[in-house]
Amino acid sequence: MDVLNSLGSGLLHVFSLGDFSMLLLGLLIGMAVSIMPGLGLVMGVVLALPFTYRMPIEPAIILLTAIYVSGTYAGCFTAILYRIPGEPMDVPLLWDGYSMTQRGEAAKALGWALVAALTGGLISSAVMVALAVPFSNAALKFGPPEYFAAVFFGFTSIAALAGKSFVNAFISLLIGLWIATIGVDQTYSAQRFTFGMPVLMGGLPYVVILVGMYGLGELISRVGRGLPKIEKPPDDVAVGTSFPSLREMWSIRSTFIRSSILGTILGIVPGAGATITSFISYGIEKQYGKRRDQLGKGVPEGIVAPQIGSTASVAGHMIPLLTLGLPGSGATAVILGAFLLHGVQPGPLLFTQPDSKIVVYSILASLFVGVIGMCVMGFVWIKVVVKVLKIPQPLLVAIVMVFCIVGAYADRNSMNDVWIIVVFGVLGFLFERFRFPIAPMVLGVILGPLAESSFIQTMVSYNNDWTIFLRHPISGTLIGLSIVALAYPLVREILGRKPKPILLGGES
Amino acid sequence: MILCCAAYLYFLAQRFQFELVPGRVGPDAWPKIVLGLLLVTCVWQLGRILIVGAAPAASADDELPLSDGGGDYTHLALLAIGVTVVYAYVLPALGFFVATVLYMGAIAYVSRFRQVVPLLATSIIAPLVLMFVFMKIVYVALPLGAGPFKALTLALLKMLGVH
Repeated sequence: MDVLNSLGSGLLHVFSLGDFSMLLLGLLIGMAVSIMPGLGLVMGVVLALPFTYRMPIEPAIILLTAIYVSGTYAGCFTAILYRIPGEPMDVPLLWDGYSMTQRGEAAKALGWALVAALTGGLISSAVMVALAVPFSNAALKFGPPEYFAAVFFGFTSIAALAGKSFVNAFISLLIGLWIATIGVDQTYSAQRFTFGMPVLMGGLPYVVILVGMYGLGELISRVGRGLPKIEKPPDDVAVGTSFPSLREMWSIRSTFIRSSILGTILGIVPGAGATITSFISYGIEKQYGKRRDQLGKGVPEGIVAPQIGSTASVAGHMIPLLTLGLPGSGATAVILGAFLLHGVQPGPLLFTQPDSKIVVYSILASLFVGVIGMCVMGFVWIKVVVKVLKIPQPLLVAIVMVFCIVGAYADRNSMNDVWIIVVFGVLGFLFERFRFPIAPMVLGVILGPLAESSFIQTMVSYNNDWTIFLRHPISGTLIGLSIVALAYPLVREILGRKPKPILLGGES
Repeated sequence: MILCCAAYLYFLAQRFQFELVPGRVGPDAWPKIVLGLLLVTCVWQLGRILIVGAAPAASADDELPLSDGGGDYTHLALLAIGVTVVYAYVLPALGFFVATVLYMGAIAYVSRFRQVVPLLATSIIAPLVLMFVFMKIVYVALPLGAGPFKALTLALLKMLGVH
């Protein structure tokens, strides 16, 4: 009952002018960036971050969360209508969605995507609200060993899931953890890797690293790959939405249930972002769905499963972020960055103090309103939204590059930060070029200090006894899971075996 | 290269200057663990490549039919990096507006955009809009430039109603 009361209060906050306008703005930005190939929702969240520096925390987080949630939905428009996936997560949508468009059923396909996004978003948000308090209660019992084990589990699962090469992902993570050690140590005031440069004494600002790696680096890589020529989407496709009937929806209820559960659970696992969730949901449908043989030829299940999976993963990711302060994806890493910029450390204590509790429940309530709002916007403004595709890509790249650089400068009005973003932009380009995933490195930078402090506290509290991580039940379980996450890809690489590919869609 | 860097950084970590408190872990412990793991991982990867052979690891997105150019324009990416470095270097002297007009034009040109009117229009209008948003709404003091460039920036700010 207390949860519902708090959620109700949060809902009232969301409908205040400041919060609601940020929510609408976030939904629009999320839709625009997820439609444009190469931008994506993480870059949308990153680009919006500098504008939140001077905002109160509540509208700031609502803005970023709205970009995140609508970014998982709007890509369906271009994937289904024009066979242009705005993001990797939208690829499974085009296998069946574009097939339906070719049969003249574009409006119906968009209707299925809308219903799926709405269902996945609402169900996972409800699950998140229900789980938030038990999770935070459990987290309150965490001591340093448990915190270290939780962060360690996050690291290993991110490395295991982030890229095709586990070793490259692990190297990326370790580079991030090393970067987090740069600066003056808090306990001994010892200079670590500062090379005598005053700019490095306070450590590197992770926001600038985020914007450099995800923003500037990605844009430079895109210039290096050649930019897509998508200036004029075809005009002969009818843009509209037609809802499926209740009977049609009931006929594929198992797809709705299966994908909603899968999306929410996978969302909680660090590293399993919307893309992985979308592909796994499609793969499961391909293996267990009633009409699995027809998948890829234009059946609604092929749209519903991946769309539910990707949208449901958002709320799933918010659970560990809000209750433990552990981000599991690039977008939640940026949102964590926004929390920290406002001097708030997400974690179980947020749920115990009245002031922070209302902020948390406003954010949770904004997810419900955001999911409904993005579907309404998608239904009403779809014709306007797809016009974003008409902006020439090179001009967009130039504008976004300037945005990234000004965003880095804006944090501290410092030219040093401009140089730092240039360095990390080049590093991001090199990572892309040499196939090192960026997400583990970024999460290493953000969670590195937490990992180090909880490790040091454990060592101090337990007389440098390493076995304590294994002897405490929660930390032991998490370390055990981490070892499994570490061992599986390594054993696979040693044996040289690749998992049997799941044939996805009609094209593979 | 990563192996060499990690080895050098590990060497540096051994030379941190601090007075160890008895019974406590020093500030070098965590960086050494991280760099030690990095060294082991790099050696592992090198060994694997030497024994099994190099298998280029594809990124997760490689097999997805995303709408990217798909070509190899590394020289253009390097050019974009060069232009960005020059932009960061001249920004304090030229000021945000002039430097950004030139930078946006250069980046769009490097990205193979050749339509003069939209290029010029975007390169001029976008920096003005950004100046207005950041200086008037978000209160960020963007670089004004020096000498005549500062005078130009101040005149533009006055025109935009930014004081």
